[in-house]
Amino acid sequence: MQINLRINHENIRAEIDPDMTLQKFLRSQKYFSVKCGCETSNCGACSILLDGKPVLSCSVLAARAEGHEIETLEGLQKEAEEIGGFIADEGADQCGFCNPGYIITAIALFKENPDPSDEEIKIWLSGNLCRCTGYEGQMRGFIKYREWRNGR
Amino acid sequence: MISFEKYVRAESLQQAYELYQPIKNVVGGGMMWLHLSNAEYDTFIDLCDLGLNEIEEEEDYFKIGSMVTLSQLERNESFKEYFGSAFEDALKHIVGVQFRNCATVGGSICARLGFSDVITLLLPLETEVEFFNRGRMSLEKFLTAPNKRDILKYIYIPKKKRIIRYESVRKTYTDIPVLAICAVKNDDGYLFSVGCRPAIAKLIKPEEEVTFGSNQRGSKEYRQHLYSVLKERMMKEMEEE
Repeated sequence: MQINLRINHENIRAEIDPDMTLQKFLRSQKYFSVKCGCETSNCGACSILLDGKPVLSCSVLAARAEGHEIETLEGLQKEAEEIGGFIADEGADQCGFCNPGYIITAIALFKENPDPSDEEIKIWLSGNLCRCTGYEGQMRGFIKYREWRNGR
Repeated sequence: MISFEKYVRAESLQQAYELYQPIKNVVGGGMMWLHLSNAEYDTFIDLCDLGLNEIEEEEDYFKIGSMVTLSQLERNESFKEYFGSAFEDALKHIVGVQFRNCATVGGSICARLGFSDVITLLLPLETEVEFFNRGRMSLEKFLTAPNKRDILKYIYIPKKKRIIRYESVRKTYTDIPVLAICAVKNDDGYLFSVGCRPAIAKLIKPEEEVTFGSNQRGSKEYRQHLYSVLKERMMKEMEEE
């Protein structure tokens, strides 16, 4: 079947299998920031923005994305570099596999709430798993990013 | 991962209902649990174009479309006025923001999962469910009635003055609960919904006995103990309010 959607502000038309997930479709289109992690709706490594909201692309059908706007880190380079820098400075990216998922979620969080509390950051990032670190580095990175963003 | 040959966006509830009658076809909500199965279907029926993704506020009740996401429930400002922080308390532990942006209230109800926080929360709020063919009935009745191939349209929650508390015990922050309780205090007294027994949530009065079972997350005795402690604690808190 055919779908029409927008990926990173570009109109895309493609042939897909009816049961293809958005994650598999995006990777087939070379958006490799979308990772294959658990593929059971748990780890957050496949997070993307669907109409501006973070979702797990491993659990969304590509067919359901028809007519919608998708954003991956490939289309959010400036924000990704900024947030990624803070994560790296705190030593929170050992293997880096979970980073795209963390950064996408953080972009969505700061877009919705420019000055989140520490607790709100924790709640937003609780759907992203990291198997290298103890989450403290990511928290420190996001708190420092928040302070920098708000000129403090 | 489930597989199917054909994807159909239903254009009407009638079409969705008719397509859903053969056992080889399936209706999907958020797909969060469904996609974990290895089942093979002929047709996947998507309800996303049927306008069921809104929360409408009427004079005496909230009318919630079955495709409303858990995030929409969690963040609804009017809910906070009538239900306090109960929706937030019950839903914030469910995996993560990304998951709750996809998972739907209809999918959570129709799957009748024993560990469902959504069902545990909605049961004591006198929630009703409306199906395309079977019509409207209480959520409690739906949960005990035989499952039929029907399309859930709306969920109704009456606006009533009451105090609500939601408590759950989990091994880790975003895990499935070992036990979940929603307590309501209104003019008639207390009402409890006990979920993850590990069977499906059940409505009970404080003096009634609840049956628990054992699974990987906790033993029957552990759940019984947790329940008696949480019940007393919640009643004390609501008494003081």
